[in-house]
Amino acid sequence: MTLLQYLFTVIKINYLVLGGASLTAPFYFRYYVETDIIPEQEINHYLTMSNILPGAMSIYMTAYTGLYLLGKKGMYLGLVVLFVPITLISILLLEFANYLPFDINILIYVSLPIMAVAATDYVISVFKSQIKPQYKFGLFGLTFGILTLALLGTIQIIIIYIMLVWLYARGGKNV
Amino acid sequence: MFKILLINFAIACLGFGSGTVFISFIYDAYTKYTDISIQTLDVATAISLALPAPISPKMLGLIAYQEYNFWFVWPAIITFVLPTIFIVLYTFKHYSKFKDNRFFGLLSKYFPPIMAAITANIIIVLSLNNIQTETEFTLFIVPMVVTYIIRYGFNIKNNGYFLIANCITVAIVANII
Repeated sequence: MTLLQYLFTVIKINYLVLGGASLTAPFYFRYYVETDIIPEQEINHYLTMSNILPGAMSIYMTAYTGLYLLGKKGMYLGLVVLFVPITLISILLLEFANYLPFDINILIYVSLPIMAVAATDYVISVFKSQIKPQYKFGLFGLTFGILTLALLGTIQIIIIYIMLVWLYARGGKNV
Repeated sequence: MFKILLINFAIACLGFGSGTVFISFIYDAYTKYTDISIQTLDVATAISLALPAPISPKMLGLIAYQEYNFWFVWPAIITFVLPTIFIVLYTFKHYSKFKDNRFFGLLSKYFPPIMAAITANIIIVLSLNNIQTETEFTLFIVPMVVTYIIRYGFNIKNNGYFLIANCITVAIVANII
């Protein structure tokens, strides 16, 4: 893959997706794995690392794929392409906000429904790929994912409850 | 000014996941440690969510632009990106040592479903937080139906449908409000 092709792929993956990096995940499979540019195992590893390490996922994914394909040059140029044009567009939109026929704050409502559809699309694609024969426990994985979230939420509530009881016992009600 | 750079650095070191998750980190840090108004943060969030590409750097850049000037946008973004670049370079250098680890392999194999669940959860939480009145509910449902029709009705497999859907949604939302 040449540098130009790589930068164009960065744009294709990131600049057509609303709602953040987690929704770009299926496109890494589409543009890198299905075209045999990067093995599936590598992309899975990068996705895992980008989620378990601190920092924004989009930076991790672009940097890892850039490093894998073209070394440090690919990584730095990929990041420049990732941030500079869209930041300039955002600033332009902000500058011309007064000329828009609506209040700029309503834009917050715009992305939600599209994000919801994109998320559904992603969940469906994961569900489809995970029930293929090579992923015997894919369905279990999806259930496990949902249960993990529920479990984490429950643990959080229990911790908060214990903290409140502890604070109350120490006279926290007067605070 | 230095405080903003420090906050961005801290957000990058402490925040996990993707943009939608970072919004809460950014709100929390900026309202606690700076005098930046909620209005500034709201405008930055609205634009960042409405445009494609990563949310958090755009949002931090817009906050820096509103509070200072155009040239401060770039240090603000760089301080946010820098810690991640260091981590990427370090982990990539030592990647060969742990990439064949059995536990890491299993974790990677089953990570996509977990991520799908996390994504669905984020959308549900965001939607519930933002849909409290009838108008807001309409603003959510109508564009969603339009987007579904565009995506599945025409069976567009390419992710370009987001842009078409985005334009139509802006028109619908602007007309309703």
